[in-house]
Amino acid sequence: MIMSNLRALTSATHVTLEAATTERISTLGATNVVRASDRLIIGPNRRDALEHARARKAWWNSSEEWDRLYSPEACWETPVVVWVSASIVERVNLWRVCSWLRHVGIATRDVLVLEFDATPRPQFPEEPFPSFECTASVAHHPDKVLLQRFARARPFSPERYNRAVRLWSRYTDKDPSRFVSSCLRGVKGFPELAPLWTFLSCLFPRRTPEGALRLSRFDELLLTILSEEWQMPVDVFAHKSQAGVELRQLLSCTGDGFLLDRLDQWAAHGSILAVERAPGPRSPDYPMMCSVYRLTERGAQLRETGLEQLTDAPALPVAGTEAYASGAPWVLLEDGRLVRL
Amino acid sequence: MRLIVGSSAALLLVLLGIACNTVSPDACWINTSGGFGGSGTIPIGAGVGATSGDPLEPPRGSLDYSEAPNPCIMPATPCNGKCLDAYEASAIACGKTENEAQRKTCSDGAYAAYKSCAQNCQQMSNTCTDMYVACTDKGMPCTRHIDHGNSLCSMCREDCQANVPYRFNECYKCGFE
Repeated sequence: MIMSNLRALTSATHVTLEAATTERISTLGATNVVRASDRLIIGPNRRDALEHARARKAWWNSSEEWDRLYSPEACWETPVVVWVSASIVERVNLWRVCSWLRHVGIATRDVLVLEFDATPRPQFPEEPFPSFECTASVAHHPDKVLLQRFARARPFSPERYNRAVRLWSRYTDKDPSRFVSSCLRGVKGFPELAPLWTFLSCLFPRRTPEGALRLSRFDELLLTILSEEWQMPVDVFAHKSQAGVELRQLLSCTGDGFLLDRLDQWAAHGSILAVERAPGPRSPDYPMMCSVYRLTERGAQLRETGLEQLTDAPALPVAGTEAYASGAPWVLLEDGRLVRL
Repeated sequence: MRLIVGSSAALLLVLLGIACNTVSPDACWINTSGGFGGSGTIPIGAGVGATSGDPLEPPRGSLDYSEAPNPCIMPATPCNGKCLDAYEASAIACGKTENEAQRKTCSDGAYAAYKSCAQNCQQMSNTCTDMYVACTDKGMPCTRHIDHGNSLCSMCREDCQANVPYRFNECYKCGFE
């Protein structure tokens, strides 16, 4: 049984959506592993694969090739086994993988999707966990469980596979309204949609019932933690406050690198800066300590009284659209809907 | 089997709750000889944390005093929680021992282990976020990105918070315990 599992493991193509999973699957004996790890819940997404790859490369500004889904070197021997955890980061990636595998002509029945639940959360967490799951990993499960699940691997039903492909199409749409409707309504077989929207909605500017424009929840937290004192990003990350807890919950999805990115975006935005940046005490080998930031009067004003216009805050690509962009004036209402301004 | 263990745990918690109501205000430990398992020492706080998954919530039920605070209610820190979890498991196992003398030895051993564990918690106040800060202060290779947008320090912190084995052994070298 184990030998036949191992034979099957070595002959299949494995798609992994996270670094640690890639290592684990390789350790188990898989030889043809395509790593397709990218945090698609932040930054630009495009339906066309080439355009998508280009936009993502520009977004990360990195030469690392951690996402090899579109690589011409990928050898798609069937069956293709996709290892996916309950993390919303990986679930979005699963939709993309399904879409791409269909694009390259792999039949639905040849794609085996191995879905892993998150491990139980500790009874006494150090900090409350958010309602969205972003830190689950296939690699949290023991080898025995991975092999058992592999032995029982099944493809999605054609209907479910179609829904995954459709979700990717909607996610990458410039008009996010249909995707948001899917999240609010729910789609059979994709329980990640509601928590995903809980997370994504924190990235969009908000409109109050009185019509005032407010910062996104993420930016509000950031500008709440920043003060007129210079702070390193690590101080912001580890801030001992309720805002700090909430910010860390959101950063568990985006990765801590996004904190640096967003601080820099704020520090470079507008003629009157809301956030100022200066060199920090450490070298660039210490990314969380090599710059310091502080809130200006303008920043405090944006936090307290809100935005006069959407472009008062730096634009942020989210799904197929952009938050705070004049060309994509999407705002979040109190009831969780996203509407045009 | 799960049902039996679950029932035993529930029984344990009930007994602990009852026991805590009878404790003197200056004692945070109580000998429950004749109670659960017939002998042994049970930490009073065990019933407190175990009744609530959220450490921010006040203890409920018989321990939810509205007058003087119960001196036995310890803050349900993750570290203390781990000690309590281990103790509860040991207490259940001890309770299944038929020989009374062995059961007492087993219970005393479990108590000693719990006490040592709880003392360690007191001495060790490093949270996962504290360890993250220490990690970022170590520079490369600890601060390198493992996936797009996420550093090794951040991944170690995620595992620390979730109380699961670290996905990367380097976490230990980078300040995580």
